[in-house]
Amino acid sequence: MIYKDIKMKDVLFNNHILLSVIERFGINLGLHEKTVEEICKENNINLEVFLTILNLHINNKYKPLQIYNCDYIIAIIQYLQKSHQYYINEIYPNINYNIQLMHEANNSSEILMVENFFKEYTTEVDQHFNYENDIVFPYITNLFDRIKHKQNVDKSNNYSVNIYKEHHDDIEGKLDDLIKLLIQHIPQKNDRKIRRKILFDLFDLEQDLNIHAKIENEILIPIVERMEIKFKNR
Amino acid sequence: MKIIYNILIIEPSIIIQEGLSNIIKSVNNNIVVTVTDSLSDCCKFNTIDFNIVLLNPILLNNCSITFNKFTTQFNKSHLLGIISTIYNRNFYCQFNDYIYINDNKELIKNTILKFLTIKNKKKNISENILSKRETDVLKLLAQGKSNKEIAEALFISIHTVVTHRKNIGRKLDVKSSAAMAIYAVANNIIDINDSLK
Repeated sequence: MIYKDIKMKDVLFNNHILLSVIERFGINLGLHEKTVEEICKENNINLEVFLTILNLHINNKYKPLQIYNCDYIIAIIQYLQKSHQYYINEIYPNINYNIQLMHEANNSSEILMVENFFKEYTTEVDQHFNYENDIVFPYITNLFDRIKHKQNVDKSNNYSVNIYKEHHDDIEGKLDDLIKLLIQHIPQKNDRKIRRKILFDLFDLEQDLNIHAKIENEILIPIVERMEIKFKNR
Repeated sequence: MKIIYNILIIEPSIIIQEGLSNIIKSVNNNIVVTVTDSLSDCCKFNTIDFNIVLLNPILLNNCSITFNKFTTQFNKSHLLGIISTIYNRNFYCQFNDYIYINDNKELIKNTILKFLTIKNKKKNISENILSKRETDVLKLLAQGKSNKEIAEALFISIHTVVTHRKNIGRKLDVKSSAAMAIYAVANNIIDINDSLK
């Protein structure tokens, strides 16, 4: 469990996986002896949201605090958007590149198919993220602004978080298929090192996406549902 | 290769635990016995495939929900009741067999031996290999054919095609048709040129 008084460097020594998470919060390394709280203050980060997300990443049994305060919503959305950028700009291109290298090493039909499989998967993920970036997040930000400024309901917009909830399909299924293919079903030929690299990246990504979905389903959606009720009852 | 049999005893009385454990170990040398005195500890053993699990129903506190949880957790093992007193009859019918605490040594050994020789309920490897019919379905599936087209080509109903697809997915442990097609090519079930048609 990570608390606000723990030194940030110790958090990372014990959980190196969090390196990419703190990066998404805009924290630079060279942490010296600063505590989590100090780092958050320095970088203008919401401490509660930061702690919740960090703890979710290191403990899969961690139950997010009931941070049903709509003031947190913007910080959460920012993190989710940063994560989208991280996946799209860095992780997916990197895996894609490595799959190409794997194809060079093991020039078989099945690896070519894996290459296409991953491309199709990336396109699906793109659509999924775009929907959130273009429709869901602006809707929530707008709702938040209206509540904050005590404005009235925007009658032209029939959108509600329920629609999002119903559309929110998982993007981990195909990733899992890919892992199964590479471990169970496709014989190894000349591609040991690169396949291992790809698998490490896929497992990391799968874990990260699981947490990402957890933040959306267990934190974001419940807060927005409450905001909607609050807004309607005004 | 030596086959190891894993047996779990869940029994609150230390005397019964130790006695039973010793008798079971004397059946043969390949038995590993794990002992616990409470049901709540069972989750620790999730990762081990036990061939036989022995449970004293006294630990269920007459609660059928607890019992259902228990049978679900160990649905791949043979379940034997350790009978030390009188219980609700509902708890009897779900065990595969019983060991009574006044059974003699030979009887206990025979009961254990009987369940060691019966194959474990868990899936064996051959079940993971596709049947002839599933392979036929997979071939067409990998060529991008729809359920309807597959049904017509193989003279079976669409419903049967769907069932075969489900079973293929379960056996290969993948969900998407695209992944199934890659499996088919990687394992020489079809040629890549067929899959691209």
